[in-house]
Amino acid sequence: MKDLALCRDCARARGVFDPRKLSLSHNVFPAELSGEVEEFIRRMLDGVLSEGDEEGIGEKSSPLPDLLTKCPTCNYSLENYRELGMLGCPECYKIFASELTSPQGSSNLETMAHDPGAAPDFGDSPDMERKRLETLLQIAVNEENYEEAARLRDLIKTLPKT
Amino acid sequence: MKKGDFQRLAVNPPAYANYFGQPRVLLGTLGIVELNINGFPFPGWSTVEKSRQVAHIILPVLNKLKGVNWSFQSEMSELDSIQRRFLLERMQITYAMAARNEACHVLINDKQDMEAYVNDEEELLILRFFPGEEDSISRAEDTCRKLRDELTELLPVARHPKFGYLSACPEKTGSGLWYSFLLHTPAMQILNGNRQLQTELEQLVPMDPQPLFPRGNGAHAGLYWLHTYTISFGKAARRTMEKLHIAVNDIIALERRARTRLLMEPKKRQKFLALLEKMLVKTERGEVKTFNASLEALSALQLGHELGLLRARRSKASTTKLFSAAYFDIAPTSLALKQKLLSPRRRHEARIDYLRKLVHEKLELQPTFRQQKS
Repeated sequence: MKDLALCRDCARARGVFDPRKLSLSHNVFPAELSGEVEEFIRRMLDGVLSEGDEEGIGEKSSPLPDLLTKCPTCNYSLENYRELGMLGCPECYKIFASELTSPQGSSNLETMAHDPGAAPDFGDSPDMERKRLETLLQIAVNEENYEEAARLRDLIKTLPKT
Repeated sequence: MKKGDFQRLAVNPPAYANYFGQPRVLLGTLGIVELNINGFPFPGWSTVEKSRQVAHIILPVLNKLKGVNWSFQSEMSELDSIQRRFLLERMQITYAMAARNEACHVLINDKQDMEAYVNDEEELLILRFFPGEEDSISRAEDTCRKLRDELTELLPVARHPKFGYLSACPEKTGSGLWYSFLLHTPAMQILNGNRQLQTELEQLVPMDPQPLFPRGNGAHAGLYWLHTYTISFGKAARRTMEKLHIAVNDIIALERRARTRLLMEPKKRQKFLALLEKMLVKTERGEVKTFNASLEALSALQLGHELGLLRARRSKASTTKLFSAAYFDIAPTSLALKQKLLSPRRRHEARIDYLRKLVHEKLELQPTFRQQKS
């Protein structure tokens, strides 16, 4: 979360007093989804702000459930996965992670997720191991998981230099 | 882009053909490396445009691979239906690949022991054949791992820190590579032992025995291809592979025992000798005409020769070579492609002629046992 201290004029300039101009979605959702999220927020606020609006959210189904069950990269849905047992693209692994590791999802994947040997461990070279840890570190930093990032940083330091 | 001559490819059989009918049971190991590119849909869900982009990323890297000389490279849209069927029959493309066109590429190396598919079931699939039974598994493991690591260095592959290499099927997550085994068990086929064996093995490790040659239902002449249904990786993969190793060693032992039984047990021996006699007569009279029947005949006669029950005019090495080539020469699309024989009747005639010449003229196979009077 980002705190901003703004004077009245600056706040007005940034549209804080007009919620329809406030673009939260860029910070929360992936870029591909931000347009749809903004549209959803705009319609929701329209519904709240203009009472009696015939197109209020109570009367029209919200696009939100679709957003949560569809992959933004390949448009592949959770229903597709449940039906076919296959995924649409590498991004789907992140979008449907909870489903994949749930008991209702792939039991094999669930076992793997709890198996420390799940990631490829065919005797990776120090170079490969370093790359792997650096990727993990980057992910931890992006997720602001600083404890994990510190642990990974220390692990990388222990690797022999090439 | 098309590179290399298809006819030249067709004249030379794939590497595993050279091991048909050797006294070994395990013809070899097939190492398979599968990778996907980050940020693109898996081929089954991709648009042609996206698949083209993937091909543009992958093809230059494949052409730069150390020590690999691709002698044939083609987009699937450039191959006609007979050429596709031909590659499918020789296990050089998959069924999924045979149905594809734009943006899907097949590459085959000069020795025909390595193939790459771009935009098949995964964005990149490399098959590598390792002959023999003693060290083929460990060699497959080493070489495929190096290949996978080299490709990981050169390509932006889809890999998850927890799940490993990513593929369309999440049950194969973390794979990157897996192995399958090419087997020839003619003695067990004759003793009807393959079905029983399959049931027993399935209890040990979940696996999917498929016919090696021809593609289709039912393994003929005891030629089949054994691989696991699904494979999970890391420790689980090692456990599966260990079980598969045990299973393959069991199969080798059982086939050798079946060969001994065919020689030593009087009833079995009589049955086998009768079969050999029948095959000699049938090939001479021109009664073996379908592909499957021809495979069964070749397999039985070759086993008879290996066990010393049939004598050939040529050396053992030369006989084995002729037998090995025969399995491929009599295949439907091979006859269609090389001799332009498109009707089944003409192919039957060609097969009858081929087998008669091979068995009775080139090899002059003769029984070393006393033939029964019919």
